[in-house]
Amino acid sequence: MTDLHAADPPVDAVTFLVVDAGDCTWGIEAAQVESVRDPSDAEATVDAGRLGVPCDPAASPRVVRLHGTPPASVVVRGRLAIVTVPRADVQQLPALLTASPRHRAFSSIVLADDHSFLVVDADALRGSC
Amino acid sequence: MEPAHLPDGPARRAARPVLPLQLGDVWIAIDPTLVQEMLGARSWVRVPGAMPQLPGVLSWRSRAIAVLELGDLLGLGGRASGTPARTVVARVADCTFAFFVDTAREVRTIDAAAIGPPHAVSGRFVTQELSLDNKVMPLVDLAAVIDVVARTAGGAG
Repeated sequence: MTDLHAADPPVDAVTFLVVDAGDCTWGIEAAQVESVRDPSDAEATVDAGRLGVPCDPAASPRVVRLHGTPPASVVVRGRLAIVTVPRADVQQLPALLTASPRHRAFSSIVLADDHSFLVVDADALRGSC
Repeated sequence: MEPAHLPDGPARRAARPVLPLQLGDVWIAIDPTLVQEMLGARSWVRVPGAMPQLPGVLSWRSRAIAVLELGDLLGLGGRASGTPARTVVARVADCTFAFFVDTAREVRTIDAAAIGPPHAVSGRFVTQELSLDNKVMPLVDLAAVIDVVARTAGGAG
């Protein structure tokens, strides 16, 4: 099980669970994630790919359980990592892009020198589950 | 590039600035007052599932702005080369965006009478053409481009 909260980030930083899905790298704010587990038959899940979130079909599935209500468990496929970036590197996506229904799951993007990835909106995922 | 000839007297008031840009083999001109900044080559991030004409974003002044594939949008056959040398950041209304070009020349001021309906060039968003340095080039209406992109993006499922 991935420890998402081993160390709280500084006030001016944000920690993400980042999924490298091959063609695309995306992340979700770690504070929104309750746990990352292997799939289990006992848990109802939705495949992130069905929600428009990129997945690497060759990667093993992991279940990301989100905090909050309604509860949501999303299956993601890709190489997982924990990444902390300066808050200033998290930028809103332009309205031209978020206008597309395809991109409703994406809220912002991290554009840093060593990390660039889309940020998936946890509320959008919960609402889609 | 030689300085453009400006007529004297009242006609000078009808002079109009244009910014010549090259995409591949094609030259276009735009209204330079829409340009926020001209940058060198910039890296950008592709957004999965995005329209080919609106493929991603880049960071500009600590914000993410849309990247337009202007060559595709115009349908002129011109497209910036694999590693475009210049990045144009422009703004229409409240929409700031970037597109890539191979060459950007200095802003030129030409007699408005030298701008007319398109005859030698055609393409989407081309309502006028002009001749500059023996090149006929379309004057591209970036506001119309953004209007169409915004409506298309909003309907893209």
